[in-house]
Amino acid sequence: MKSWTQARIDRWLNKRIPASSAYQMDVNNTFILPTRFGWAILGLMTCLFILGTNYQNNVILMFCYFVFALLLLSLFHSYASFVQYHIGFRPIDNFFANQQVQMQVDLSHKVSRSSLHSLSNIAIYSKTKPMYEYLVKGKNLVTISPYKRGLHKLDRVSVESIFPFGLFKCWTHLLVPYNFFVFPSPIACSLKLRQQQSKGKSGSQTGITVTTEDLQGIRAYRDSDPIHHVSWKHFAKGQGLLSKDFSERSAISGWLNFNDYYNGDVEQALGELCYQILELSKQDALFGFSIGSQQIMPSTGIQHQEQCLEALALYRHKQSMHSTDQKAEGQF
Amino acid sequence: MQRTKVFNQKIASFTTLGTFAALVISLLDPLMGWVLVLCACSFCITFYKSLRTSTPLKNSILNLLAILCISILVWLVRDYGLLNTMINLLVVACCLKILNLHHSGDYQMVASIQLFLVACGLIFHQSLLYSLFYASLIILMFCVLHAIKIKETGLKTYSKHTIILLLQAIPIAGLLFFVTPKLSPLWQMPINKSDQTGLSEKMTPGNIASLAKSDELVFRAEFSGRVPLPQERYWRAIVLDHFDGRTWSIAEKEKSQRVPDSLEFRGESLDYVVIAQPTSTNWLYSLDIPILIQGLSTQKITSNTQYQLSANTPLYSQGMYAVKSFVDQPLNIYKDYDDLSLYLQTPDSGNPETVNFVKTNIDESMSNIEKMNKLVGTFSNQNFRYTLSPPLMQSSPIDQFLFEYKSGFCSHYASALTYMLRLADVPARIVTGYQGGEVQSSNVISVHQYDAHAWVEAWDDENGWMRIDPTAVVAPNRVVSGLLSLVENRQEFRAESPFSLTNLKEYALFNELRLLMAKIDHTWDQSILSYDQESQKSLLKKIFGNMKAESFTYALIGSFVVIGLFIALLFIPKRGPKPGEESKWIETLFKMFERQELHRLENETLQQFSQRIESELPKQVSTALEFIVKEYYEWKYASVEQRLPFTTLKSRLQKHVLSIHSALTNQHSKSNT
Repeated sequence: MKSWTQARIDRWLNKRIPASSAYQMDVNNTFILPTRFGWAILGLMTCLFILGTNYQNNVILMFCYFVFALLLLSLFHSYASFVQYHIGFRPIDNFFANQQVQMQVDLSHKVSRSSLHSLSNIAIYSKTKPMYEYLVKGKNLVTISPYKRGLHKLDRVSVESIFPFGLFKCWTHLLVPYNFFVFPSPIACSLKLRQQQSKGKSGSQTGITVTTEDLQGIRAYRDSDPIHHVSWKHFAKGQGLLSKDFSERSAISGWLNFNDYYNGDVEQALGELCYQILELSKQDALFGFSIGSQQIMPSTGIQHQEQCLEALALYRHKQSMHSTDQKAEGQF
Repeated sequence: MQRTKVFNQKIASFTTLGTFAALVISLLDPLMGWVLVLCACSFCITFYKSLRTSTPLKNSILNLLAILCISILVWLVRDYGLLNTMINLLVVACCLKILNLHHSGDYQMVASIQLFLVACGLIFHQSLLYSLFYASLIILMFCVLHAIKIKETGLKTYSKHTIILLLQAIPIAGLLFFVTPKLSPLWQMPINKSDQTGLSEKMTPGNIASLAKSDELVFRAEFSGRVPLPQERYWRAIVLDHFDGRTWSIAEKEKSQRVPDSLEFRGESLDYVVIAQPTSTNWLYSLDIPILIQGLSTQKITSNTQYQLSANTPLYSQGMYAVKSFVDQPLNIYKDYDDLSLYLQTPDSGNPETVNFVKTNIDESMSNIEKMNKLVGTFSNQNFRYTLSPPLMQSSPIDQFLFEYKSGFCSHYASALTYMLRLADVPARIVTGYQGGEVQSSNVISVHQYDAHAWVEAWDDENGWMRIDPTAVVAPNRVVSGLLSLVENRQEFRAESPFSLTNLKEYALFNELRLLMAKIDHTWDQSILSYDQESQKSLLKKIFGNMKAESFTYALIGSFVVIGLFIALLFIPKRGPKPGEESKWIETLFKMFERQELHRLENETLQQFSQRIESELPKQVSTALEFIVKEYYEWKYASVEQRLPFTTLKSRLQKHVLSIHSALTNQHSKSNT
């Protein structure tokens, strides 16, 4: 549960730094404050002033003013070096829960930046995830983990720089506009498909693997042929043992049903289903998918697979995203 | 872990070690023995650790060690004084922290401690050379602070960057220094107990040679007129008037001394300004008879009937004061106010041979002057010897000196003569101070610690206090050309301080160099170290004319404006070549697409861009864009002679641009609804 202040800060941030796929650091989205070391040096400066005044020591006073001047300059350099940066975010792919979510961040800087700022280091981090990485110019793959199954939106990622001398910290909190799914991690298991049946009888033959195969023709019976492939029609007509010949790429087809896999453990069932969806798609099978109240009509192809996987990801998933985020999603 | 990552680790750790060692060496004096041992150990361990990758030490061990060290320091705080304890504490903290240099926070903490230690060092040493030394340490520290948080790169690059950044701070610091109001001390600070340099308020001739054999500078005097001759340079500091048979000290006197309302002086006067180096005593130096020129001194100074000047607070930092000395005026202006019986005090017992000697040689009927001549004569008649390392004279020092060893330095002679004069019923006292000094740049005299001297003043009703220097009788050169004029003294001196530049006095070139350095140092003292409220006022007066309270405020505000302008100057972006009409036009074209969320990638050309987004565009737009790209590149790659001006191309393409624009905005509004 977010605290009231946090909610206010978030609202203010949403107004101040709205979601965008690319940011140019500027006066509107940059914050700057002394670091802990910066505060320490400010304290040191005060001590120097007292020491210099009480001992009437001009060299110490000079030192004190020098530290002050350095703090002042550091403030400006810190800001000036930070606003040179441009950060772009690429859409985030979908991942399985056992994979690490990666985000591509593009970093570039203004051509006109001073050579004094060329060594500045900029780092990306998140307040909610254990992530802290220094960015290089160009393409960066940043790992954000771990995420649970579901539809996710990144929390604000922050970018900071403490150039120069680590006295001041320039930072910003950026909102990445992309959503991504995290699918359950696949768990290997045996296939349980329901035959395509008329709707009335569905659900009566749980646990039986049924395949419908394309009949190619009739050929002479071989010992290896299964007995149910024998064409009893032709045998009855006295044409001898003949086998029905099924095509080599005989596509499996049927319905995957959540209830067939559900064994008390939802996540286990979802993992197994995920495995089956991936396997079936690999075999180019025509399959439908029913989970809870949701029915996905049989189809093939990558898009169908994605649809099924998304249904898996969202099944009985606590809606982490708030209604406002849903609205935001519509914009992109 | 990533957040505290240290870049350029190796060079950073070595530099930190180096600055640490340099700091400890510059602060050797106030450090305790065991702290030095700790420093050495920690230095070796860290050096060894820096050579290879190592795992962090356990914090609990270090914390225990820290608690132990702190308790020792707290235990010893009474003996060592607050300031010394603080410095030791800082050094110990630095020692322990330096053992565990792993995170950037460790480096930052060590740097903060070291910066504080630099400030402590500056309490002790403020000369130009030391200031430069500390400045270079500060530069190194900031190099480390910079290096640990920037990209891995060569030493040269980041040290250059650091120095540029630090140089930018100097004008601001300088301006602030000259303009910010100087405050008087806010409260009394602890002083360094062992830092008892300079003259002592007690003198025990016969003890282990206590003459300061150092070439440390004591003060400089800048004369506005004639510079006194060597034999006139008796810089009075302390008057010792109480003798207990072994030790001379300052007698306790009534606090409120009566002083005549007005004084009359006659004869020539010398005007000079003295810049005194810090000591922990209140005594100041002047030629006889000093009259303080009020309003020109950094300290509150009082003068007393013994013609001494003393500051109201000890000189922790440099002091400056202006004096007018009436050198020809006899010291009898306080004639009616002096209690002469005080100067006849002798111990009840001890030194019997001397008592006998005075009794047999001095006749009650002789005048004071005759007695003086007679007693001073004893030194010239017998073979007395001047030496810096006389034997110990412990039991009855004056007897031993006069009749047994017959060798000693100024305090032996002064002590013996004063004692004899008092026995002969002549009021006498010892004056300690400095004698001589080295003339630099024609009107500045530098006086060093080795110029310390003691002489005698005896009372004559007519002439007042008369200065008698028994040392001059034995070793006239000591007075005229200084201590180092005697070869054997020079050798003795050299044995005491082998690294002193003064040893090179004989070589003309080095001497020139030494004097030049002394001159630069003097300028530094005068312009920076003695810069105070008064000089600040006069400087601002020079710049802004007559000073009022408000013009001071203006000066302050003005300086902040100047600082603001300076910073603005640093950060005004350096403009590249002005963008031509052509690039502006392309920019507007890109912007049009940008509004439709079609972003241009970095360094993408118009052609690449159009090819990439072609598929996402409606037919009408993509054909128009294709045409524009074709025309534009044809124009761009045409030879310069055949090329039409860009405006014609622009006007020709305008129609297509507009069509794209309208198509895109239509699309946009549709998608919105």
